[in-house]
Amino acid sequence: MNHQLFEEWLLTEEPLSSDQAEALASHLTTCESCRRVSAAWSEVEHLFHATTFVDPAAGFADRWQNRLAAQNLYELQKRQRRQSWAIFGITAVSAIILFILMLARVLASFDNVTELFVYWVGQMTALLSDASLIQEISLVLIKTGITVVPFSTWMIILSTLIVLCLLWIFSLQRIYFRGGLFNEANH
Amino acid sequence: MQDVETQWLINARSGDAQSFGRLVDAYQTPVYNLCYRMLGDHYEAEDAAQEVFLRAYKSMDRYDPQRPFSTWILSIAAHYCIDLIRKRRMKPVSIDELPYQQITDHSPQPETALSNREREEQVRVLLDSLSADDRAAVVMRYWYDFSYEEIAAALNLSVSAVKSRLHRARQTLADRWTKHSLNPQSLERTRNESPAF
Repeated sequence: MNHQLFEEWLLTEEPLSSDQAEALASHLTTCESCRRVSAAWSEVEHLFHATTFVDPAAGFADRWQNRLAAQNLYELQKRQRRQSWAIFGITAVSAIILFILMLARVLASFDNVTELFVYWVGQMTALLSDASLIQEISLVLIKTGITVVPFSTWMIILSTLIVLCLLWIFSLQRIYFRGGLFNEANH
Repeated sequence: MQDVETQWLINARSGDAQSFGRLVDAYQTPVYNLCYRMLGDHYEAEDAAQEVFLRAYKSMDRYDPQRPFSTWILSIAAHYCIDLIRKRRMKPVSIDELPYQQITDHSPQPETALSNREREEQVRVLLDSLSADDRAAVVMRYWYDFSYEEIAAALNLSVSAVKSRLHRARQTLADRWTKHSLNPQSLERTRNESPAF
């Protein structure tokens, strides 16, 4: 009989017929290597059955809850970043299209490049003189403001603005970096 | 207990994290044990088990209530660990990264603790001699008493493929044990052997 067949019978979990069992038992009395394999597997099987389940360290479920919370926050932030980029992209594309349409309309109203250049220089000059006028008006307003409104009132207004800014920054930090939004949603 | 668990499963499928948390509590040991037997390291097993439960939570809508939850989650665990082992094999390991394996033992007697540690170490070395897929089949068969059909369903294999894998695994394990019996130092040498050689 083929030796490989005995090797298969040794390690199979299928029940052997009485003839097969008898042939295997007879073979084991003469074959040293098969006896070794049979004994080895028997010991390995016994070893496996003797080992119990290994427990995780205490607090496994709590650690999992924390991990879930961190994962949810990460996904929320990722989603918000994606939405921000989408809105930015749509706005940028719309602005570019509008700019191109306006530019096309402006260019269509001129007969040649020289006319366009003269018009552009005129517009820049007008813009510079407007900026200069705004600067003069602002300086007058500031001088008047400093004279009319007391210094202490200015300090109060500035301090209030600084406190409001700090509060805003602190709230943003709580929402985005400490999971404040997620915790509120959960409870 | 079955009815309570069924209710947890129904609630968890609706997205109730607390109910799923109760399932985590109930199944942490079986999942962790499978991960530990597959990966051979407590830290990796903890990380893998946590990740398995996260994946199960996100896929609860795909869970078939006709199938036992234990089979489903152990299937996720087995697949995840198999992927980890395959990635691990492709990454070269430096000698400095080899961790010292500390096996926790709750036995009060030093002799019993020592023999438990030795036994765990023997099991770890034996399982390490198998490929990832064979290891998963062996763990499911001998620790969880899965039938061939259950192992086939868990590992996406045919029943004949499972039988063939288990048979091959038994041969490998018997050979490994025979070498260990002939040379008891072989276990010690294997533990201290650098993967560079």
